Amino acid sequence: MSAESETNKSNIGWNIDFRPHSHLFKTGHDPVSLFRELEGLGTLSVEMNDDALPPFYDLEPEVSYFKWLLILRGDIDESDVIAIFECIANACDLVITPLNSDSKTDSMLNNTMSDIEQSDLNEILASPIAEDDSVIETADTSINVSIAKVDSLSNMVSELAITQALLNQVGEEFTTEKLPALMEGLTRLERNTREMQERVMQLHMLPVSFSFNRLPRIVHDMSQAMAKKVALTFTGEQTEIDKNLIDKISELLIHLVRNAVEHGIELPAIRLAAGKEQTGRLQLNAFHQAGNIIIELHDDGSGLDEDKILSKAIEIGIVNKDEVLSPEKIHQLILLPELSGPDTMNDIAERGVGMDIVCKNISRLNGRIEVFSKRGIGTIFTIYLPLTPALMEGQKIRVADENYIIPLKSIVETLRIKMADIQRIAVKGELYQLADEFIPIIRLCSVFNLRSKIIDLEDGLLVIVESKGSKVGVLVDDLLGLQQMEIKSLETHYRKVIGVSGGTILSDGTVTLVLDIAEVVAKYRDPLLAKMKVNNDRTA
Amino acid sequence: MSDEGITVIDCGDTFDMANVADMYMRMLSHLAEDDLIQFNVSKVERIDTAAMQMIYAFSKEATQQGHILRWEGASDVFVRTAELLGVATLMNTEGRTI
Repeated sequence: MSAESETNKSNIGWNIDFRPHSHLFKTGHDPVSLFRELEGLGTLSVEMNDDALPPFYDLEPEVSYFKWLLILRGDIDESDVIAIFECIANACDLVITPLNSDSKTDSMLNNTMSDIEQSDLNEILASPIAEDDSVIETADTSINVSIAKVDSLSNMVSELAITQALLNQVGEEFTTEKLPALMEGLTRLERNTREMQERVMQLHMLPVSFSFNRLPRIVHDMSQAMAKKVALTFTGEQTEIDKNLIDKISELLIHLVRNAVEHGIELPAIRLAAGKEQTGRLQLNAFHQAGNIIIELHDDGSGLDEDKILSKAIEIGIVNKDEVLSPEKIHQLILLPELSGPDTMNDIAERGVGMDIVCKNISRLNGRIEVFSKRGIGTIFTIYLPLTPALMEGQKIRVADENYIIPLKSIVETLRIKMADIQRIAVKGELYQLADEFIPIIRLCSVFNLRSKIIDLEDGLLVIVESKGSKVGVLVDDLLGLQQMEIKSLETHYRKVIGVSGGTILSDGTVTLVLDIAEVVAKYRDPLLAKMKVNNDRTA
Repeated sequence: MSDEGITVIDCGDTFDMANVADMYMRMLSHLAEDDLIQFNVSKVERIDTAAMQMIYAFSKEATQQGHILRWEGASDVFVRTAELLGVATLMNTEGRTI
């Protein structure tokens, strides 16, 4: 790269004039978390202004006085910067201007937060969520580890050394009589390696209570301000979670808890009239289950109004008028950007405000969120997160002569196709009847221009995946087994490939690409690519 | 805590919005105490902007009043948060003394 282009690159970026309102801290949001997220986008320079800071004797500790001028360098979309500040839109003044304002029209890029609210946030938020390494990279670079964990790891290393000595002994002048001892040694080695991996992972873990710290205060302040009575209780605070997730989930939990207090829990008089206790209950549970950490937020408030949500969904066209949805499916609608933006939600069920952003951030952490509600009884939000954001489980598949991995969290089920369940429709292509719904079939070989040996659908396998709330069937040649993987960015070493979220190294040392299902579906639905698919099919 | 002419302020492992009000009262009383004030921020695992703003305001006031401030083994989390908020140089946490 030439010196000139390096210079140009260093001039690309954004000036961010960030002036929090005095009540910002009381909303539960924390500027330093935002700055960490910005750091994940590019190179961040921070200049703090303390002009408004009073003498210490006059200081109100819970009032925000600092202002910041931030310079974020890098080839960064403005929408990514805006998205970070979106959660505090009502608690700050924000002016974002390009670093090199000569190159673009100032009027287009001089966005205040009020402009941002009027802009098409849905478009920003509906864009495909790429695997975001910044989620992992923004964390601090060191961690305090308890002596007990270090001791445990040392013991494991000692056991590994013993196993190695045992195998050395077996290896010397090896004869077939020593085969059972070799097998035993290898079994021990496998166990030692697995346990060591688990203990090394535990070094990164902290109790989830670090994420809960700010919540009691927020609940206390909000319930006082709104004349409500709310009791917040925790279970499983000592459940451990990856350190890199602590700050991320703090912000998410604050949003959920604020929503629950503001829109879920009723006023004492209303609760009494409904035969409930005056004090509303908010319960936060954390526990481990099947390699995930699960965080549940229960409230015994008013619950979601399914009729209102459904009628709004029909009105804006995301649900067909004749469509029959189960209550569970209706609840999930509040997680969609179309229904949780500030404009659409205010007049139906405020409970959904900002839920699309919560949902998006959880996706970035390779997790998911579910909502269950019963009118008049309450609501439960359940967040599923991997124990460590870098590790996830995937299904290895084969298409033509290539292997890929589909993240397990995207897969609903896998099935062998019966031709009786296939419908061919001129515009929509091949559809598969799954219970009561028809789902489109995507031939992965067409998406990636591969020559599959599968011509008849019956010869392949259909992996039903879910993307942005709708199901599609991905046709693959074969399933090759489950794989735990650490996703590495492809862009760092090569370039962005649409439909691929990254690569992973398998146990045999080979590199396999990990599919980004949302992008695969988008790529398939692109008219140009769909046309290519049709041509390919004709050729076949 | 005062020990042989030194006031030690221990920030614990978590210093955030939940305990800034209590800490403020403690810090306020320390301003009237010894000349040498030592911040123990070695155990800080979590600190938010409200807490950092208060430490900054305290250090500014204390320095103006002629106190000498020392940072006892600032944890990486503390230093990193101070850097991110643009107060590290102003508080001179890198040098561990003001």
